[in-house]
Amino acid sequence: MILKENNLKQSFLLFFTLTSLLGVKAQTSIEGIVKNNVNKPLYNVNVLLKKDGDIITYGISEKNGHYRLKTSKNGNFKLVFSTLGYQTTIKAIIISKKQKNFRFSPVLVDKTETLNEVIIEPDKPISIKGDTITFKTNFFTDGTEDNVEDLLKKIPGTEVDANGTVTVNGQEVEKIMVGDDDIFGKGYKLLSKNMPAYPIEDVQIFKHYSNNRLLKGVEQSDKIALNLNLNKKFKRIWFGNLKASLGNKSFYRAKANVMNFGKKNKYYFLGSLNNIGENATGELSNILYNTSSSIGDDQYAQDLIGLSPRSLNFKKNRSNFNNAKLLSLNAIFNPSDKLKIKPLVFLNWDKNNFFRKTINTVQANGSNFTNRENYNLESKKRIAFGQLKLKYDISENQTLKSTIKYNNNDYENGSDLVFNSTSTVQKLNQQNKRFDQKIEYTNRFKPKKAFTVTGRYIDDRTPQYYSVNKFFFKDLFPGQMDANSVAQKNSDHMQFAGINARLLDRKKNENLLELNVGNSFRKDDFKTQFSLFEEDSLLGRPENYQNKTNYQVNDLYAKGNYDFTLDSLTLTGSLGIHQLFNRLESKESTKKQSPFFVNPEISLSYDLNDKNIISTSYSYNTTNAKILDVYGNHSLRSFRSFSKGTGNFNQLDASKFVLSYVLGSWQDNFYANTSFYYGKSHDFFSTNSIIEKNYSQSQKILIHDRDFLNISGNFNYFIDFLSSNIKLKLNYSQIEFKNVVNNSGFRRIENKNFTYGFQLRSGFNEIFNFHIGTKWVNSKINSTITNSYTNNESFLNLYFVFNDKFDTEIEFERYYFGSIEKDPSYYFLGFSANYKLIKNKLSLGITGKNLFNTKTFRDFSISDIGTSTTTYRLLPRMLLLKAEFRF
Amino acid sequence: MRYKLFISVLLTQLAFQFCTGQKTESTAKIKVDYTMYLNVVGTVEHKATLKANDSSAVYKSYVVNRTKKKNEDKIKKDDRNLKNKVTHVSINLNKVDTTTTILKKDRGFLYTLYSLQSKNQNPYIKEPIPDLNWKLLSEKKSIKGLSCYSAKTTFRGRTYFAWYAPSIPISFGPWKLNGLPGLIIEAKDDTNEVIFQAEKVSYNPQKMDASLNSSYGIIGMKKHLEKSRKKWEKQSNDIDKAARKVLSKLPKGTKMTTETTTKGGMELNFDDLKGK
Repeated sequence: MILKENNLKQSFLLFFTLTSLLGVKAQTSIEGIVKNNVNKPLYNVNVLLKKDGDIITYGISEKNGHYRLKTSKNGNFKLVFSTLGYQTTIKAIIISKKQKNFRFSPVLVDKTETLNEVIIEPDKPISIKGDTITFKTNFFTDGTEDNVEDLLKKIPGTEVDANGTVTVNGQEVEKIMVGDDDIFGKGYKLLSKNMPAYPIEDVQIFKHYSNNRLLKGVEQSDKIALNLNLNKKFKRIWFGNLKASLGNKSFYRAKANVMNFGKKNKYYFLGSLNNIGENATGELSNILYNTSSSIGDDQYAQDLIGLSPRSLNFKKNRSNFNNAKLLSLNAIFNPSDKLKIKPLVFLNWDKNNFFRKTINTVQANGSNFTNRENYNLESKKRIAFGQLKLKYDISENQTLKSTIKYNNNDYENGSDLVFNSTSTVQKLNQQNKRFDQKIEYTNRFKPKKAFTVTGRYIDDRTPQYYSVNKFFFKDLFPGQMDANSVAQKNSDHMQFAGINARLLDRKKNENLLELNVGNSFRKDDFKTQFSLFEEDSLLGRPENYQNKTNYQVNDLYAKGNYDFTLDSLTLTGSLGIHQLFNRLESKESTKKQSPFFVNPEISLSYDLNDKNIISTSYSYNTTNAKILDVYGNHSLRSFRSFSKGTGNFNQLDASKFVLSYVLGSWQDNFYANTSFYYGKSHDFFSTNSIIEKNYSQSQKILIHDRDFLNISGNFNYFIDFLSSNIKLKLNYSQIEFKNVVNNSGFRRIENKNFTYGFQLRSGFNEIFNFHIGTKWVNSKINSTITNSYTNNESFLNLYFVFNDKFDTEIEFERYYFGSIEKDPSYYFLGFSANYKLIKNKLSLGITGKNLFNTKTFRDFSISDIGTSTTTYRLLPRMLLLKAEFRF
Repeated sequence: MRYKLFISVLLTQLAFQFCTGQKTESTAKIKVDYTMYLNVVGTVEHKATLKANDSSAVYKSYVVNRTKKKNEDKIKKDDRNLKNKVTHVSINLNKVDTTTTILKKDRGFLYTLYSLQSKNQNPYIKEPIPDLNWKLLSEKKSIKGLSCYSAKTTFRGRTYFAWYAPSIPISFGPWKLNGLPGLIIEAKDDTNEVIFQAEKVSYNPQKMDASLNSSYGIIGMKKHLEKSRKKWEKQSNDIDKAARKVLSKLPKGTKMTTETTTKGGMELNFDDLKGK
């Protein structure tokens, strides 16, 4: 060992000697003393060794005028001496292998003529103008940037995480526009991940961003938006991505995004297919989503009959056997600086299958029975949607916007139903045609004051044709013993016209006053035609089962809002004044009514200190009855039920009170969030129903006093030694109301729900994290009978984030139904793993769903008349390989 | 769903302002106006002036434009942040808003004065003039008619690229950047967080004040760093815990990645001072 070490030392020594010898051999030293013409040494003189205009090396003279530089190069050089106030002196020098040391001691001569100044005025890489910061990209890039994401990473203050979320100083951006054009809204990752970086000339950050440029500074906003301006020279480019997933049992999902951008025009195409239970139009939600609300937003024609399952207490895509296709085209045209045109069309086809078995047990005032349904639904839909948006900037402070939307949807539903061993076929054909036009004019007449006038017209029709090949209503129509099938044609034709003027006034003290004045008019032409058939021949259309209702509501209103902020106290007061003109016309009569009401609301938020925030609000609200509340004769609602409205006008009064308290914040060990809600409906719609084994019939009735109470609490405690947060969640709600079943007189119904559970989530700053939790739901309904259940849901999620390229997630769930005797527990296991194979180009992944291959799922629910147990068929075990490719 | 937690720790936010109390005056041979951009947290634009003669240089600067910074010390509006799926924790340890850098080449020392706008209570921080060990690069470019050469160095945790003009033969530059054979016309670090650009050069002789105000006192850089380190250690524990607390309160089915950036203003480490 010792010998070896010595050897090693010796060889190192030899090596160093050789290299230093070589070094000495190669290095040439140039030195000397720089002085001026009175023999004074010159300090800080730059001495450059130049060759063909390149600077090879340099030295700077010391206080005594001495300089020294070294080079290992040979050839013809120039030695340049320069310092402020002296003329530059140049010496030619030839360095060869022979001469190692040079000495030059020049005498510098005073400069007689001097420049006064040099103005450089460089191109600014960054300019800050108010809330806009502009970054010139050529200053920040080095040509290695591939996509917009890479470019944004180079812009200081802007960060892009592994998932593509773009933040500016830690706050996520609202959108990324290109040349002030926005296509994707919150779905900007589609752009930032796919668009190449080279055509972008500058990146702008807009702080306090408002969607309406004229409302900036008037509206309160802490949003951030990005805008990418394209270089004028650049020609249009194509880019996009392809995502494909393939799995067992021919499960698939495919998606293509293709974009073509030019300075004036931009196009975006989307195609999407899947049969794994996902709703394809979800892909467009970011584009269609409208952030600002306006008059008429909640105006839709009403459907009477739906065969598709209502929202399940369960993940919908687990039981949605589908085959969805979506095609969409989106474009932006800028014919001039002032005009912007945005057309959008999409087509969506879907074929869904849904299977369920239900056992309904009814115990209500003389009716005691059990119904069994075995339901197979096949539905097809086609949605065609078109939208055209125009924006015209009349002047610096005035804008005109117009939006036209049109959709034409077709639905065909067919279901095979076995109802108490009677095989039944239901068919429902439905169309929806909707035309919606909106025009909006905004004028900012003062820097902090603006008004907007909005006009809107909507025409919406929902005709339905429904037929059932069995007749379950023999008891209702005793004269029609031959009838063996029924059908109903119904439609609601809704027309809406409204105009609203809105004034926003940001006061000097930053408090905001908002005033709205307007008039809205809604007209419903509501028709139902119910027919009894024997085979194909019409037997009759029973009176009292036909509707022809025309309902008109005209609302003339004024609303005011004032936000008042004083330090930690925020007070908001609002008042709505409504003068209504109602008209209800049916075959039997025509009625008119002109009610007047006032809706006040007051809310208060108080930050006691950093740790305690209290907020509270009280409101009194009057709402007018809707079309489905006012029609007077029965309409068919399902194969075995009829219902009808009150046949009269009604206004419903309600008041509500909310109190909430927050203690601590996310960064504290203890963090709690509690709220109390009490609502009282002074009037409300309840039902008067006849419930029989084969059919039910209900009518809306107006009843007074319904109480609703909700108390919820959310308590977090961070356990230091586990580095984990324990969360306790409690929720209690209670509702009390009355209804009538089988001529019982008013029955008091009380529904109490209590949910409680806890969760533990780790906060390791490491690869692995877990989240485990469980909750119990206890529900109890008291009427003439008492029904209750306690269910439990538990989960365990494991997260592994190995690095920016590779992450995995495993999810385990257990559902337990306390009131189901056989098979009360259901287990689900799923996972997903993602791996980025080639940065920005190709990523791969694998997803597994329902790995225990649970075939069915059973749910238990209760109501005031009984219980029901529903079994759904689930999509089988699914393993999907995913690939995403960018071009 | 995936959440993101940003933690940025701001040790020093540099902003410069002229200091008062001029005493002894000497004559500057050259005056250079610079624009300086600091993009450490938000974007802050500064105007700066470098005055120099053969033996010393004084660099002073002041803020002209600053973007507002949100959530400076704690998370506010938790709900909104959650909706954004991004939570930002920012901790400002050492608020500073005025600074002056005085380089005394003949003595071999550089003095930096960080102080709050309202009152100056800090001493000058004294350090040997850093040897930047510039590497000359072969790139050349003309900046508004000035022919400039490129050089590169790594200094205190940042890699700077500078463009200098040998035709303006002084070896000083903005801030602590010095030692090139020509005035630094443009310099930036590779993260684009620190940017200097010369706007105007004037050769008219003028007054400069390179003297130290004796009432402020002087502290050695090593001692200063030791003091800061103690302050920092106390805080860093809290920061790590804050991250864990936020992460562990997230809803089900959400992943979170944490990114901690410690932003020490312009200087990120002081490794060059080790062993000295």
